[in-house]
Amino acid sequence: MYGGIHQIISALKYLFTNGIVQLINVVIQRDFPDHFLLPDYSGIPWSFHARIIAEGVFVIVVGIFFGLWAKARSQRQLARQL
Amino acid sequence: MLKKIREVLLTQHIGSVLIALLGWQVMVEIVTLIVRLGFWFFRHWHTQAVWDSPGAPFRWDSLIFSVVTVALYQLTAYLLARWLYPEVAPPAATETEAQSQVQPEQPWPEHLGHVLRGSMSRSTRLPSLLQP
Repeated sequence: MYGGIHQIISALKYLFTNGIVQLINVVIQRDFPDHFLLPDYSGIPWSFHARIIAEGVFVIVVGIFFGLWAKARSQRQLARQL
Repeated sequence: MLKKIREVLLTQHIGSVLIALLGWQVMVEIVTLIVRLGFWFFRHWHTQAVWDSPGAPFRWDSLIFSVVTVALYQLTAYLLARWLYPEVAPPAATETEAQSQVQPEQPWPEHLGHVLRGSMSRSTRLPSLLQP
């Protein structure tokens, strides 16, 4: 689960940072035209972020199902021993 | 399904470990940010002192990136903690506190005073009986 969350956040942080940087660049262009603009991450395609987020969700779901399966298996073995 | 997952996360302590890992990641990001800032300040001050040049400009985009990362990890840990360990409603807490309050001490009845005095005298006499 941690791996999946980590992967989703690693994709989301680029999107959020890109949004904030673009907002700051709009303010710089409007009010301080003689200043340099901040470099943003707009070159990365959306499909790349979507693929990483989908992989993270897949890892979380697989991890949850694997954990539930292991718990059910241990309970079955305990019941069989009793 | 979500209830079952929540139960597993709570009973097997997976949820608390997950929250701790996310908190640890927040700490790592904060320490990395502080070290990066300190390194930039040191380099900036050093190059100004030696070469008298402005040095490398401050990477504001890197700072925003680190702040967003910390905020996302912190938000995820907070939401997970709120889901797994919700806050107890205040009225229920006050009721249990009122029930658990200690009853005020009542004076011993007159007829039990002899029993109490007798037991105390026996207990004070017991160590003397145990001595050889």
